[in-house]
Amino acid sequence: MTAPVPLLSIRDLRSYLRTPQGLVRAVDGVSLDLAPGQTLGLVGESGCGKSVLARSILGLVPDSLMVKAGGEIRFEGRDLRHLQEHEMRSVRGRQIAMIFQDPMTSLNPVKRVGGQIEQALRLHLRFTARQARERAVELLGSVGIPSPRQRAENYPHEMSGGMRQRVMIAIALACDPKVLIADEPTTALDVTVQAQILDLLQEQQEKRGMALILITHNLGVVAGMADEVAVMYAGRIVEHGATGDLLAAPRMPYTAALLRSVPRIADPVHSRLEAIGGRPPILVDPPAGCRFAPRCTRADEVCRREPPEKRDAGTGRRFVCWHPLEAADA
Amino acid sequence: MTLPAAETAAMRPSVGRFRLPSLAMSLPAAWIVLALAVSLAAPLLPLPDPFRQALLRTLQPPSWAHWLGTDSLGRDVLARSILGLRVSLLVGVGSVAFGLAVGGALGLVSGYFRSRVDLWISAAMTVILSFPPLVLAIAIVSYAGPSLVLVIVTLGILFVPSFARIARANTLSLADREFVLAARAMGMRNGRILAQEILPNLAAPLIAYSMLMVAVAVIAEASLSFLGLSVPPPEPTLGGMIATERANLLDAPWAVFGPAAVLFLTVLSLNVLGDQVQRRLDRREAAL
Repeated sequence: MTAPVPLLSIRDLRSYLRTPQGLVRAVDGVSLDLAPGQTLGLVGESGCGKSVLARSILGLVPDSLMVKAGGEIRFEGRDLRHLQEHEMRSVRGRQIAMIFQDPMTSLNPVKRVGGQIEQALRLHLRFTARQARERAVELLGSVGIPSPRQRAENYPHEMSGGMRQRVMIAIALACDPKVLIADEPTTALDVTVQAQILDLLQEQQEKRGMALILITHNLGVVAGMADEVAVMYAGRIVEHGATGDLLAAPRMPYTAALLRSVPRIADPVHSRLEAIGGRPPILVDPPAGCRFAPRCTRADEVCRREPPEKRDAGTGRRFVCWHPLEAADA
Repeated sequence: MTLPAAETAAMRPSVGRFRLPSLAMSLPAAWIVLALAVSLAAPLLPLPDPFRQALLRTLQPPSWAHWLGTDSLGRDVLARSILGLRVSLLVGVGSVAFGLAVGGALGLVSGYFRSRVDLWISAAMTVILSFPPLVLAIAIVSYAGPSLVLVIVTLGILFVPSFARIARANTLSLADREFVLAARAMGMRNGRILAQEILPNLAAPLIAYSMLMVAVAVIAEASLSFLGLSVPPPEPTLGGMIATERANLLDAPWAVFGPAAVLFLTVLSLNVLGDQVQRRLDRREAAL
């Protein structure tokens, strides 16, 4: 079996942020591959660098705030990190699109939603006003908005959160991108609406053969949708593998701890949910050894002193840990 | 079946939305409309010639021929007040438009790009603000000689900093909102983001503020013309008319109170309207 040629290939990416507290190593040596049509789940706690990674791919963090400390982001053979700003603009939205966590704030409050979709079409595809108008209505319909022609005239505040996220998806899909980055697309929504939005994403992805990077802290979301999962902790990928495989038998203690902190329907009523003790490290001055060591139950002297090497457990499974869990431990 | 009050209210067609404007809103609006209409149509109105002197009929009290009487050179006060109002409104609207365009653009750029651009623009604004405004206006106009364009530009420059501050403050908070990030993720360039994403959000606060500033500009023009530093005579200005006739205040109060009343009503109306618009926008903002 030959691995498919990756569409997007990230190698040893380092993005450091300038803050008053010092340089935050938000993304510190991340490598990922994304094949066409593939879904990659990127999981981790808040503040572990998921969003900075996503924004680094599109070059959305201004140079005044971010130090590009190294690594490359290859998209169809081009290194996005070294593109000119105007070249990058033709990638954003056209080749790689992004949707954000909060649909309440990611739409412009004073513009009709139809117009906001048309804008994307006219920008990249040079549609005429009339073509864009028609296409915007079609798109609204295809993301499951009833009576799209009337809805296109609405302002964002006239729509519910779920509707607005559908509009955001319509905008992101407008130019038929090859990769969609969804940064916590359902976190701000009601639970009942979350499933609908995820279904919509999956349906659109299959229809368009688009690759999807799904960023979330919700393992349940990943389990249902992703082909592969990358677990991120303190700016690094700590475990990576095929979804079923990884969720069934985590090797890295952090992944295992994350899985234990998900409530299960089969658990007895009122059973206590396990939490991971402590907080993620502050990334200005990360721990010298394994970054999870201070919170890890299996950590010893070596873990605190030496950062673990990346290990390859075959069949695409990779993790970084000195004392990995065996299948029987999990 | 009875329903709770809230539900019945929700079911009623939205009559409440189109309630009649209050008197506090409609009277000032009516005055401003009248003032604009009259000053635009002044040449077409059947008014006495505002420049024709009649030295035998000076300081006449109001009559059918002269609704607001005549001044010390026998000229019709109403006709002159209307021409003066025309100058006032032209200066008011013109200088505010100048301040809005220049100040708005500077504030937008400074709030969006921040860092060094912001530093320079804010410093320049502080320099303008550190002059006492009327003294600066008097200095400029008396140095260069009075003319309509100069008065407009001078007052416009004085308005630039306040418009720039409002635009900058709003842009600072808007630029951090997610929809701006989303626009960049969509591949928009900065110029387009400024014009299409941020500017529409600035329109409401800037327009409300503009109405209040027109009132300020009308007063400023009246002050300058009172000092003889606006449009030169014989072209009438409200301030100029008050200044020349103030010696005859006891004999012919109409010659002073005519233009003064026009000035007072115009400024009052603009202030009330501006306040109302501002309050409505605030309420709308809170609802969003």
